[in-house]
Amino acid sequence: MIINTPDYSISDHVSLDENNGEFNTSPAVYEPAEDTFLMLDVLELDLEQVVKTRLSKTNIGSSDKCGPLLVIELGSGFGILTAAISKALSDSLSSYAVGAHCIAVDMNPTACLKTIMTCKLNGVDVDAVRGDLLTWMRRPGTTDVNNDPNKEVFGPIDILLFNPPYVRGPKGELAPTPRVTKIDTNDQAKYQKQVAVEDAAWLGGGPDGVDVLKRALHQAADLLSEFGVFYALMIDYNYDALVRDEMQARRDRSDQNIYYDDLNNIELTTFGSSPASRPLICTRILSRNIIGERLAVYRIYRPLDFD
Amino acid sequence: MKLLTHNLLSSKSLKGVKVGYPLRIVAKDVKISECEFNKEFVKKIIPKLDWKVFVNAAVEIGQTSDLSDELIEDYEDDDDYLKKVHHLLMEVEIINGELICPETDRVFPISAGIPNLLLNENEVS
Repeated sequence: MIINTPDYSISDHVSLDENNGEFNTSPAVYEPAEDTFLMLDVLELDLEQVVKTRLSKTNIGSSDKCGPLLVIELGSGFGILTAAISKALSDSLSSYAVGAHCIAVDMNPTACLKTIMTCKLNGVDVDAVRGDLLTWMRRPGTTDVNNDPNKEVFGPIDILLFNPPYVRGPKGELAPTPRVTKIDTNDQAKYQKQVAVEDAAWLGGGPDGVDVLKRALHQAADLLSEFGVFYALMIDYNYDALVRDEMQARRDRSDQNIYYDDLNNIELTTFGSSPASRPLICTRILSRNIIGERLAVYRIYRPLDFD
Repeated sequence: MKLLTHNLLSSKSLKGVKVGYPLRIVAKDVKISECEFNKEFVKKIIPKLDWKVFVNAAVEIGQTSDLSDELIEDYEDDDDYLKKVHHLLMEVEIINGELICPETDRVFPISAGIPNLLLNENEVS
């Protein structure tokens, strides 16, 4: 399956419809770069297979198409990935899926608008939500009082995409806490600081660059559908940190099962709030050396039942 | 923002909120834009929806429809019914307005079609 790079415009003209004085100019949006294109290549390599062999497991009766699929991208920036996947699912994959509802999430309101514009440019219609990862989403089972704690809970998300801020801060900064700061336009110093934080969209991954990704993994473990997949981009030391934390967690609970014989695969057992949940498998799909960095995209998912 | 997205939103992350669902809607501007009726999509999205929340949301934003609180049984073969659902789910868009937490009345503004669900640091549970 071919995924074409979506059209996008790097023009700064974004109309902001914020009348509450929160912004008087648009904060910068992270422009598509090598990491974005690596994610696109992963979709080209892996998406068709995932739709055909995993997501189609939910097909009921005679129906031979899966879906509608709920697709969510975190930190959508320009919206390249959302536009590409939305187009692929309504286009080349339409014989396998009945369609998709795509939601792009970003903390930066300009990025939300950019995403909508990029999608329009490519003839696809998506919704954008200004929010912090998946904190705005309804939790599965919250309205069900007869919840069985031993029953695995699944969420609604079929495909989750995240190209997170993966770089260590120069001083090992923690990820900036997401918040809305009311900015007094007379207070230039404060305003500059806010812009600086928003500009550094690629920074702030915490000491290992994975703080934000780990928060996303906790939420994703509860919100992925049974056969859902989470594509996440990591730099080499992000993955090392995930492996280190997993090993530590197993030692802490005297789990004898400490091994991993394949450097491209690890079972993550510490994410999610339901003790009944199966661990998530994290598998490397594609990696690439770019100047000074080694990037890889992983697919994170629950193993299929083989019984 | 479409009602399909509203069906997934919650204010559960606010401090002290137990369920935070559904968010009430106050719509100031609503836009209707036609899109192709995909029967299979609508048929298969219905079981995934919180139906009552969807029907109430449509009423809240002033889209009078004769959809009742109870989903009819044989909707799969009822094209007129599916088209109504399609219209409300996919073609009606809230451009400006507010979402309101059912427990705390915290307001989340919707502007340019984008709901702002970011919380302040001191609001997070």
